[in-house]
Order: sequence, then structure tokens, then C-alpha cells
Amino acid sequence: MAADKNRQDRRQFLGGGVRTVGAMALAGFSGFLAGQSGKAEETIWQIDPDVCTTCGNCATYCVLDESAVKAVQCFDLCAMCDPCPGYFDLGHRERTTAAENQLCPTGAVLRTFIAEQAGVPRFEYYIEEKDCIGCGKCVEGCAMMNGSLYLQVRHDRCVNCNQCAIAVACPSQAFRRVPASQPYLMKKKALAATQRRGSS
Amino acid sequence: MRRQLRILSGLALLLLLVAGAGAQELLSRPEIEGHATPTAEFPEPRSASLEYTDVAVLAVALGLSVYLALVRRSRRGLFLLAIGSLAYFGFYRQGCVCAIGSIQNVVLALSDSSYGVSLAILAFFALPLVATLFFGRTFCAAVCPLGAIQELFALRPVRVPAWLDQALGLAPYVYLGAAVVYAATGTAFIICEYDPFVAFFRLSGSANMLILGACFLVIGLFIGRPYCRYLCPYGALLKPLSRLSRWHVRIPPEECINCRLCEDACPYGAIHPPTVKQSDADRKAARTRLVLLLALSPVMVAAAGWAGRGLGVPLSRLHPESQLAERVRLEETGQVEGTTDASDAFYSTGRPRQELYAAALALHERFSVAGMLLGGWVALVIAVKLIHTNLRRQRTEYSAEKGNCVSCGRCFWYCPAEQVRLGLIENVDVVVKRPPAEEGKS
Amino acid sequence: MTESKPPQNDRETLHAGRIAAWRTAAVRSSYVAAVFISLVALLLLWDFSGRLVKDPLDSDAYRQLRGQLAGSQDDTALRETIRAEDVRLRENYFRQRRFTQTGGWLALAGALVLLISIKAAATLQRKLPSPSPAEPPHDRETRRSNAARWAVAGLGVVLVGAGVLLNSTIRTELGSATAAGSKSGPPVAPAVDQSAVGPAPAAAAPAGAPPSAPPAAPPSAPPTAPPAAEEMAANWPRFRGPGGLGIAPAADLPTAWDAESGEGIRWKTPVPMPGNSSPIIWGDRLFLTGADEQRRVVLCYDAAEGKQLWETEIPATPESGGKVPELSEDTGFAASTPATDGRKVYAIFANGDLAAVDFEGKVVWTRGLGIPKNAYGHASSLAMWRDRVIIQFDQAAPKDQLSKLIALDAATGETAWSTPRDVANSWPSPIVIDHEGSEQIITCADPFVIAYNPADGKEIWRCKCLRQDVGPSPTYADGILYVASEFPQMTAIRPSGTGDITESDKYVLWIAEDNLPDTCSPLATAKHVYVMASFGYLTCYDAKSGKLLWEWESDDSFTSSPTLVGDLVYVFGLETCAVISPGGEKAETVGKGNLGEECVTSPAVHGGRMFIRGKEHLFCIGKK
Repeated sequence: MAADKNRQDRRQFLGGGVRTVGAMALAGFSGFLAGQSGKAEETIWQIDPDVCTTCGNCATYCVLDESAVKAVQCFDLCAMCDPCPGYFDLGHRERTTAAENQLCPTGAVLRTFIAEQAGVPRFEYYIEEKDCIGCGKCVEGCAMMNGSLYLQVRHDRCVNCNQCAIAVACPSQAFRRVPASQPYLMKKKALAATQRRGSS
Repeated sequence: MRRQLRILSGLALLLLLVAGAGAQELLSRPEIEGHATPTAEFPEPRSASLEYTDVAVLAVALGLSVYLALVRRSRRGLFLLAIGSLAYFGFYRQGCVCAIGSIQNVVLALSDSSYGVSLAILAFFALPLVATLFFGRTFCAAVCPLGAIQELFALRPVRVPAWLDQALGLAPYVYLGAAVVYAATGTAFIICEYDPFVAFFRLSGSANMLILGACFLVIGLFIGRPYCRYLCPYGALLKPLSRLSRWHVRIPPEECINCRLCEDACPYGAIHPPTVKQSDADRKAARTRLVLLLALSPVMVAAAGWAGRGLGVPLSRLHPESQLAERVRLEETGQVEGTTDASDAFYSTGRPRQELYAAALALHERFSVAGMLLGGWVALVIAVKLIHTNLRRQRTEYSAEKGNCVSCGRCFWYCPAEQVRLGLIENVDVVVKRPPAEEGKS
Repeated sequence: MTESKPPQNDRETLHAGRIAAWRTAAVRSSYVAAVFISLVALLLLWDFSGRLVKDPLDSDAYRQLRGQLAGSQDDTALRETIRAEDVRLRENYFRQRRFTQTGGWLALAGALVLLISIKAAATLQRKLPSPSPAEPPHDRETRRSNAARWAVAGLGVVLVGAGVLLNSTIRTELGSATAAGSKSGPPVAPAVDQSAVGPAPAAAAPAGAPPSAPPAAPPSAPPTAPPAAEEMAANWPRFRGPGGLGIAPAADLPTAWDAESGEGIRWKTPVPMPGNSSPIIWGDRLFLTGADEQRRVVLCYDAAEGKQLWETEIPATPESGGKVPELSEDTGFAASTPATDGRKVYAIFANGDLAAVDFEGKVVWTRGLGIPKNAYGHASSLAMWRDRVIIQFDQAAPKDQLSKLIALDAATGETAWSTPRDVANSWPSPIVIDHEGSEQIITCADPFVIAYNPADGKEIWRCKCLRQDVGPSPTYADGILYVASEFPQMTAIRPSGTGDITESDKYVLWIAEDNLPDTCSPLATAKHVYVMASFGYLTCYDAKSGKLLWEWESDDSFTSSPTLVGDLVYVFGLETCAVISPGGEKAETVGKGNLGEECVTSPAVHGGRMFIRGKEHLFCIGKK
């Protein structure tokens, strides 16, 4: 009986020691990582539009039924072209909003007449976000001109999966983690255009 | 061709011509009087402070779970807490900030100094581990949403044969090893990619993952918590910690009377009966095996590590760079026709093929090392398990095996001593005393 | 057992009845919930299968309509159909999306009800088990752990099997790209080309070593990537073989042969076009060039039997314009030896025309460098570096500024780089060496030896040690470069310097002035340097000190460069041939040969045989 008691005591002492060491090791490990990461922010997913090839995977691979990726217009870069290759199908006959002329499969690009300059009509092109499915067809079309349209992960929709399903399917590795404080990326030329306009 | 470009009108042709010039020079944006350039809206991501709300909820839930399991001994409380956790971490947070997945963030942060892991994720990784070290797997009981959903579905559990349970119980360690390899190499977070329940939490997902999740739930009707027991890599970490825990749930509140009523109460096969003295011959055999295994295990680990080196190529195939290099090589040597989106994207970057090949070969090397470590790890796990089967611990009462017990509290109700504690019956003899008819029969 | 007890009073009976009622309610509601979920799930599934495509207009019918419109002229009815179809598809798409969302929530709600009711039913019905009477305690655990051990071992076997399966099913195609990567990739990695130093250890190997390995790749289906250094070393890809050093591994060659009696001659075949170029060999194929004033040809022979496989005429380029260069009859129109990388054969002719011909005899590209202004006619042979063809194109006098070193892309014939040279016309062939990790192209001309970086053609160092008409090519052994010409000297150079190293004792190790060659290139090993003077003296110098060790004498005159096979030196004079065993004190003639015709070319050694071109024939010397 005394031997049993002894053994039990020994066991408890041993267990206590292991636990203390384990807890300290865990705490140390966490502290080390926390220190190493410094003030590491939460990261979120974003598309680098300079790398994106508009393959269309964003529309199909997002875990959400309605993709978190949508087209975005950089108005500073848009040349207000008429016809706009991001709006019109290449085979269009007339520049109207008729279905057979449009490129967007959901009619999510809006074309608004602004003014006529020296006989050239000027239009502004907006993305109707609730209709956009992120297929990137308009982005691909727009790339023939200035490339002011580009795809971005919209963070009001993105659930920020630890492993983004679109990132896995992205053929050009355009998806990357960005700090949550700078949640959007811009094309280099879009950035330049924005800065130019900002300064003038 | 996915998109047929039909160049029909001269206009379109003109467009293309302009596009050729446009590659170098941008068309300038016309200045229109009275029309200000609009700006696109960029919705902000979820605020960072909410991240700390998650941590706070986790801490509170963990505390509650410990309290309910160890102090209140309330199965109903734990059950309600599980539903609450499922609602918050599962359906509200859509399964993404989770202790299981955080393993990978931590590993990646360790291997890649440019990747920072946020304090919230670190807390999600460490808090349950610390709690388990002291109180057992109360995290699994009612905090983890994956555990919770399976807990709800464990309706008609059958007993898994002990031998199968023991063997399958090693799978989480293999999975953990693979997850660490892929996280450390920055390849992918496979635990998250193949999380079977996250599609339910989001009420959408790829058809494959929904089907996989449904399979797990259906299996979970009959085999309690299949993911937790036979796959969960975080459980693999919790198991050994739980064995060390200081305060762990006990089936009886005080003394066990060995009434055997709880024998089949555990749907997860964690309740073990009191041990019987081993025969001398068996003990001797066990000792011989133990010595043999102890001597053999370093050899096993070394051999598996050596063999694991050969897995460099297959392991690296999950890495996009390696996949791309193989594809480009196949296209270059004419073994496949046509191109893929990925190879097209690669060609358009103008990056030399040889550079890609060199990168892929470097990956092979890297993964050979990873394969060696993985092989060694798996062999180590198997060796430890084999050694463990030859060790014995004396049990004088029905008790929950600390490693496998998830502190769900299902067994409490079966214990007469517990019923006495709750005041449901006056003393244990009410239920334990055998009816005289039965005695007469025997 | 609780159930077996008779109810004690009314209160308890009432309680039991209420429980039973609740249980029935729970069971029924669980049935309802289950049916509801199944319905929703079925609907969702049915809906889901119709919308696996996420683009609403991704419908064949719609695409067809659009296609029809493209093919027709203003068809108003068709347009209306398209618009209607478009609206229908889009409406359908958004309706389905809403349906999925609502369906998801409905299913979730149903699941919740189902779970609660089932749970309630289970709890209300819950009974304590009635365990069977205790059996006498027996040790079940031992049996269980035995079974567990086997199961764990089984798992191990399964894992090993999975590993083996993975390893055997997933293979890489990059294995062959490795060699290519190190050879032709951008010069990121330090130089790995060993073609210049490769054979040197082989030469130092003891006699009786096995003959050179057979070619690594069957040349019948040449791959596209440039070959590895080992592959180059296993063949005879250029003038004087791998690295241009005139050294072959030991081979069981005859020490005597006679073309008239046929002794020691495997075969002999006539060459249809004249030329002073030497044979090159890749695998089982031997290549020669020949030319006269009008025609230029590349010839391919089967090295085993001597059968001519093909003859390809190289068309004149616009640059040469069919003009005939002025040259000495001794040089001829095809004096430059071609080069090969195992994929194509590259040849240059006296009119400055270059061609790449594939192994089947098809001209891949031609390139004209213009008629060279060369006193005797262009004779410098081609060198290869990775996927580039190196041409030492020296012309006229330094003041004319016409001399160049040119690197062409072997695949296309485009100029990779071209570096002007301030030297006079010359006749040596460039060699590429790998000196302590730095790759250099070594060129000899009046008055400089110049080393260039093969990657970009930038000059590394130069040394002024040659004069007048320079014929012999440089050679390299054991970290030392040997250049010789009839005037003024032979110079041993350590090629580690930069800039002009003429005056530096550190780099110019020694000079020798006896029995200098005017055409034959020197032959060097780690210990000795052999030079063949045109008047028949083979002179051996100590490689480290430059001390003259011995002289060997012949009555013949020589333009063919000596070749070391194993530890025997083979020399081909204009009319006689000899095999010499060089010793420390003096040389010993161990054999003599006779080709029965004049010979001015250098031999090729491959697969245990030696190939030499005479004035009219191609000979294969070998025991078997």
C-alpha cells in the first residue's frame, strides 16, 4: 500500500513536471513566433492584375456560389473608348445595348453616354457589381486598349479561406496574400495613371 | 478554343490595330467639362478588431467547456455549447479561423520568415493546446465546430474493433506530417483544402467537397466522429497532450463501483475496463518484443527516411511550379498536344524554360528532404505505437482513455454514482442490484 | 432495469405517460424533417446539375444563334430570338442562384429540426444497459494488443505500398532537361562545360584502360537540346576531338597498317569531293566536308562500314554571291573541319558560307559571312560552346579591322555576339577551355593570343607572343595553355590573368624556341608538350619547365597534327605514318603505317578505331 502510494506520488510529480515544461515550451514557442512575426497583420487574398491572365477560373472555382471576384474599373485609366472592346463583342454590328452586341454574359457592364467631343461620343463604363460574376471577359477585351478593367477579390464578399480555392486553380499564380491594411492591388500602369491625375 | 474571337467587321480589325499600338502607348483619357472622373469603390475587409473578438469567443468557450465538463459535469451544457460553437465558428465565421488549419499558418511562419502569422491565429493554435495540457480535450468536446457537427450526428454509434481503431488512429499523424510538409514548402494548405465540413458552414462549395462532407456525416451517424478520430491532424497534437493532462474528466464523480453500466456508453471507444493481471508468459513475451522493438525502431526510422527520399518527385507534384514545369517539358518534347492556361500564362511571361526547369528540379531536391523527414516521421509514429502496444498500465476502474476521450460527457448519465450526485436516485444499489430472477436463472 | 420496476405511484405513471407522448412527437417530427430535407436536397441536386457552368450564356443553343447571326446579314427575326434567349438564360441563371441560396438555408433549418427531434427522441427513450453477468476476469487486453500490432503493421505495409505506387506512377520528365539546363541555360550557374578538360584525365590514364565508351545517344533520333559535356567527350565532335586537344582515351588500335595490303585497315572509301578538313564523329556517323570552286558539300558516312549515307550540297548565300575566293591550292575550299553537337552538323567553307545540316542531311539554316580576305584561304575550324557555334573569322591586316570572333545561335544561325579583333588573318582554330571554373575561348593570331568570355564575347586577357602567319591551334592541359608558331616561339601561359599579360612572369610561364611548328598544333599532357615541326621533328618539352627532353626525327614533311591515343602518339606525315611511344628520355617508334596516298588532315578516334582522310579516300584504321 505504501509502495503504491509512493508510486502514485512519483507519477504525479513526474506528470506535473512534464506539464509545466510542456506549458512553458508552448508559451515560449508562441512567444517566439509572435516576436518573429512582429506586428504581422492578418493576410487576405488578392489578385495581382499585372499577372492575371483572365482565364475565367475566378468565376468557377470560388467556394462561394457567386464568386467573390469581380471586375473593377479604374476610371483614371479608362479612355472612354467607343466602341469599347470590353463592352462590345468583337463581332458586334451596331453600338447598341442589344444582347447580341454585348460581351458580358450577365450584362453587368453599364455604358453611359457622357458627352460628345469633336464629333466623338464619349461613354463611361461602370461595373454593376451585383450582376458581375468575375468571368473576366470584359477584362480580356479591355486589355486590347488601355486595360483599365481588372479583376479583384471583393472583400465584402470574400470569406478569406485559409487556402483560397481559386488560388489553387489560378494558372498564373496571380493570387497572393496581402496585408489586410492594403487589401487591393492595382496594375502598375493604373497606379501611374491615378497618380498622374492626382497630381494634375 | 474557349473564346472564339470572330473578327468580322473592319471596325474590329481597326481595334486590333490600335491594340497593337496600345501595347506601348496608352490612349489618354479625354477631359470632359462638367464630368468628374468617378472612382471605383473598394469595400473594406472585415475589421481586424473582430479577429480579437474571435479569440475572446474562443477563450470563453474553452473556459465554459472546461467548467461544464469538469465542474458541472453537464452533458446538456456541453451539448448546448457545442451548438453555440457550431453556430459561431461554423456558420457565422464560416469555418475559417480554426485551430486545425492554424497548424499550417504556424508551420509556414516558421519556415518562411517573410510570412507573418497574426496573433489571433497564433492564439487559435496555442490556446486549445494549453487547455488540453491541463484539462484534456475539452476543446474537441464543445468548441471545435468540426467536432460539434460530428457530435450532433453521432446518433447510432457502433463500436469499431479495437485493432482497427488503433491502426486508423495513426492516420492523423500521417496527415499531420503531410500537411506540415506542404505548409512548410509553401505549396498549399491541404488541411483547409480538404476540410470536409466547411462547405456546409458556407452553404456552398464545390460539388466534390459537399459530397465528401455528406459522406463523413453519414458515416458519422454510425461511427462517432470519424474525422476527429481518424483524420484530424490537430487531434493528433491534442492526443499526447491530453494524456498528460492534470485534471481530466472522470466517468464517476467519486469512486467507481465497477458496475459496468458505462462499458458501452462511449461512442468513440474511449472507455477502457479495469485491467486484469497479465500471465507470466505474456508478460515475458511482451518484454522481449519491447526490447526488440526498441532496438529495431531506429533502424525502421532510418530505413523509412532513406526510402522517403525517393518521394521527392511525387510529393513535389502538388506544387504549382513543379506541375507547370512538367507540363511545359511535355509540350516542349511534343509528348502532349496543345497548351493549358497555365503553360500559356508561363509562355507569356517570357521566363526562360530552363529557369523553370531548374526551379522545379530544386523543388524535387527540397521535397526529397521533406520526403525523408516525412518517411522518418511515419516510421517513428508506427514504432512508438508498436512499442506502446507492449506497455501496460494498471487500471482498477472503468475509465476514459485520456488520449481518445473528447470530454463530451455522454458517459456521465450511465454512471449510478453520478445519478446519486444529481439526486436522481438515492443510492447506487437501486440500479446495480441484480434482479433476483436473473440470479435464479444462472 | 428502471423500466422493470413497477410504477410506484400515480405521479410517476403520469410522468411516464408524458414522456411517451413527447417521444412520439419527437419521432414524428423527425420523420417530417427527414422527408423535408430529402425533398430539398433532391431539388437542390436537380437544380445544381443544371448549373455546373457558371456563365449564364454558356449554352450551345445560344452560341449557335450568335454564330448564325455572324454568318447572316441583318436578320431581324434572328436578333429578336437571340435577345429573347439571352433574357431567358440570364433570368434562369439568377433564379437558380437564388434557389440554391434559399434551398441551402431551408436544408439547414430542416437539418436542425431533424437533429433536435432525433436527439430528443433518443434521450427520452434512453435506457441504462443491462450488462450480462460478469464473466470471470480474463486478459482480453493482451489479445487486443496483439491484434492491434498486426493492424498497425498492416497500416505500415499499406503506407509503404502507397509510397511505392506514388513513386512509380508519378514520374518526372525533367530528367533529360537537367543536362540541357546546365549546358544551354542562361549563364546563371558557374560554368560546367568540361569539354576542354574532360579528356585530359583520360589521357593520363594507364595504358590498357577500356576503349572509349560508345556514344551516349543513338544519333538516329537526335534530341533538340544541346548535349552534356560527357556526351561531347564520348564523341569526336570537332577538329582534334573533344575540346580540340587531339587526345583520345586508350584504344586497342593497330600499330601498323598498310592500305595496299589492307593490313590494319577496316575499310577505305573514296571521298567524292576534295577538301583538307578532318573527319568528325557522332555516334555511328562520320561527317566530312568537301568543296571545289562551284560546289560545297557535307558528307555523312556510316562509321561502322564506311558506307556513304548522304551528301548534301550547301547552296551559296547572297553574301558570297557565288563568287570564288582567291586562295592557295594547298588550302583548298574546304579546309575547315566541321563541328557537331549531336543534333546538327555545322560547316564553314572558304567563301565564308556556313550551314547547319541535320543528321538526315537536311539543311536547317545557312549563313553567309562574306568572302574572307585571307591570304591562303580560310582554314580555321569551328568550335562549339553550349548551343553556340564559335567562328574565328580573321582577315587581312589589323589595320583593315575586318577580323572578328563570332558566336552564332546553333538553332537558328542568328548572331549571338560578334567581337572585332585587332589581328591579322590567321589559320588556327579556337578552343574553349574551362580554366578553374572560368570558361574561355582561346584564339591565336598575329600578334595576340586572346581569351574571350564565351557568354558574351568580352575579352578576358591577351598576350603578344605570335608573329607572321600563324597556323597551329592552341592546346591546354593541366591548367596551362600552350601556343606555338614558327615565329617567334612556343609560349606556356597560365590563363588566369586579365588585360595584357605579355610582360607578366606570373602568367607567361616559359617560352621555347626549338623545332617550332608552322601548321601542326601542339599536343599537351600534364607532363609533356609535343610539337610537330613541318620538317619532320617531333619535339618533347617538359610541361612545367619548358626544358627540351627529346627529339624524334622523320624524313617526311608534316601538316597533320599529332594525336595522343592512350599513351601512344600517332603522327601522319605527307606520305608516311608512325606510332610513337614517348618516353621520359627518348621516343621509340613502335609502328609504321602507310595510307598509299598523301595525307594532310588530322585523324578522328572513336569506338576503338581511327579515321583519317587522305587525298582521295577516307580510311578506317582498327583491329575490329
